[in-house]
Amino acid sequence: MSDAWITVLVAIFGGAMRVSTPFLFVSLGECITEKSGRVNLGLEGTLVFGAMVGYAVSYHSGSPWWGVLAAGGAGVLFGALHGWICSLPRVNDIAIGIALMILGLGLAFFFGKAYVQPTAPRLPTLDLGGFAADPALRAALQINVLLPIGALIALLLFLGMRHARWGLVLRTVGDSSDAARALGFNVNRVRVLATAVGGFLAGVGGAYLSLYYPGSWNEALSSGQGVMAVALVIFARWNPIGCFIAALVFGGAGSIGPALQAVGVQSGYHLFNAAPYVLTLAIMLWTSSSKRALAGAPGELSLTR
Amino acid sequence: MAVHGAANASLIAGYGYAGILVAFLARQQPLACVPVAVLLGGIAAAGSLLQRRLDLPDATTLVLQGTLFLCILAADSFPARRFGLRRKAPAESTVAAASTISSLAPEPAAAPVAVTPPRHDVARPVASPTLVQPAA
Repeated sequence: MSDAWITVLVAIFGGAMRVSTPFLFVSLGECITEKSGRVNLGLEGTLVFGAMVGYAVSYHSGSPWWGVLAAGGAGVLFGALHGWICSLPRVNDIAIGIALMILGLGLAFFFGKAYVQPTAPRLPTLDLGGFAADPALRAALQINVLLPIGALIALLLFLGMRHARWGLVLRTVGDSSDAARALGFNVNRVRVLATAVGGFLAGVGGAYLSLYYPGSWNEALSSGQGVMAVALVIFARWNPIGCFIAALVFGGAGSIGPALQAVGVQSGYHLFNAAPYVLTLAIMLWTSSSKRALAGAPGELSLTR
Repeated sequence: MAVHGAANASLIAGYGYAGILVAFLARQQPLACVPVAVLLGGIAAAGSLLQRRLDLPDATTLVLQGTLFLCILAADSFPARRFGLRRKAPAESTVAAASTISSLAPEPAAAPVAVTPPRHDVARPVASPTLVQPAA
C-alpha cells in the first residue's frame, strides 16, 4: 500500500517537473504584462508560434539554444505588436489579445507544416537523480535546464518588482497611469516593453514544448497552456514566486491521472485529467471574497476594474 | 454538432474565441452578429477548398481571420467623427447598418472617399425639417 503511494507521489512530482515549465514561463510573462496594466490573452498564440519557430531554428541550426532564442524573439514581435496596437486610443486589449491568439495559431500551423516530420535536436537535461536507487525517482529528477532558469527569473522578478527602479516604474504604470504620467513616465512605452518581455517568456515556454516535452512539433502540441496561464497569474495574485508555485501545483495535479494509471487505477483517467482545472476553480472560490478586491491586483487592469 | 454529426476532439476548433470577437465586431448588437458570423463561417469553410485548389494549408483561413480581426479592432482608434457625422440623419436603422459596414472596411484610405459625398446629401434633409417645422 505505502509502496503504491510512493510510486504515485514520485510520478506526480516527476510530472510537475516535466509539465510545469511552459506554465511557469507563460504565467511569468503574463504577470509582467498585467503588472503594467494590460492583459495579453494572445500568449497562447505566442506559445504555439514560439514552439514552431524554436523547433524550426533548432532543426536548421543544429543547436536547441538558438531555437530557444528565436522562439523568444518571435514572442517579442507578437508582444510588441500587441503593445503597439493597444497603445492606440479606444482599442480593447482583451479583443486584440484573442485576435493575436488566432493569428499566432494560424501562422504557426501555416509555416509549421514542413516541420511535422523532421527531428530537431532537443534541449539537454540536468541529471540530479544520480544518488537515487529507485529508477522512477531518478527519472523524475531529470530536470530540464529551463526549469531552474524559470525559477531564477521568478525570483529576480519578485525582488525587482519590490526593490528595483524598473519594478517600481512597472507597478506605478499598472496601478495608476495618471500618477505615472504625472511623474514623467511614458506609460505606453513601459506597457509596450512589458508586453514584449512577456511575449519573450511565452515564446521560450513554447520552445520548451517542442524541444523538450512532448518534444516534437505538431498542431496538437499545446493543450491551452497559454490561456490557463492567465488564470494562474490571478491564482498567484500577480506574484512571480506565486506563479512558480502555481505552475508546479498545476503541473502536479495534471499528472495525477497518469500516476494513478501507473499503479493500475484505470477508471476515471479522463476525469483525473480535469483535476488541475477543478483544483484551480476550488482554490479561486475558496480564496475569493465579495467584500474586498483581489490583493495585489494592478489598479489599471481591465480584468478586475 | 450539426456540421460534424458527431462529438469528437476536433470540434474544439477555436469557435469560442472567434465567437467572442464576432461579438466585438458586431459592436455588441445582436442582429449584427448574424452577418458577421456568416462571413467568418464562410472564411472558415473555405479552408478545404483552398487546400484542394491552391495547395495552401488549411491554416490559411486562421491567418486570414486573425489578420481581419486585428485590422478591424485596431480601426476602432480611427477618429470617431469620420463615421459619427452620419448618426444625426433621420433614418436611424439604415445609418446604424451603414456605420457597421463602413467601419468593417479595414483600409483607412477608402473610408473618406466613401463617406464624404453623402455628407452633403445628409445635411440637406436634416436642415430642411428644421426649416419646415416652424412654418407648419
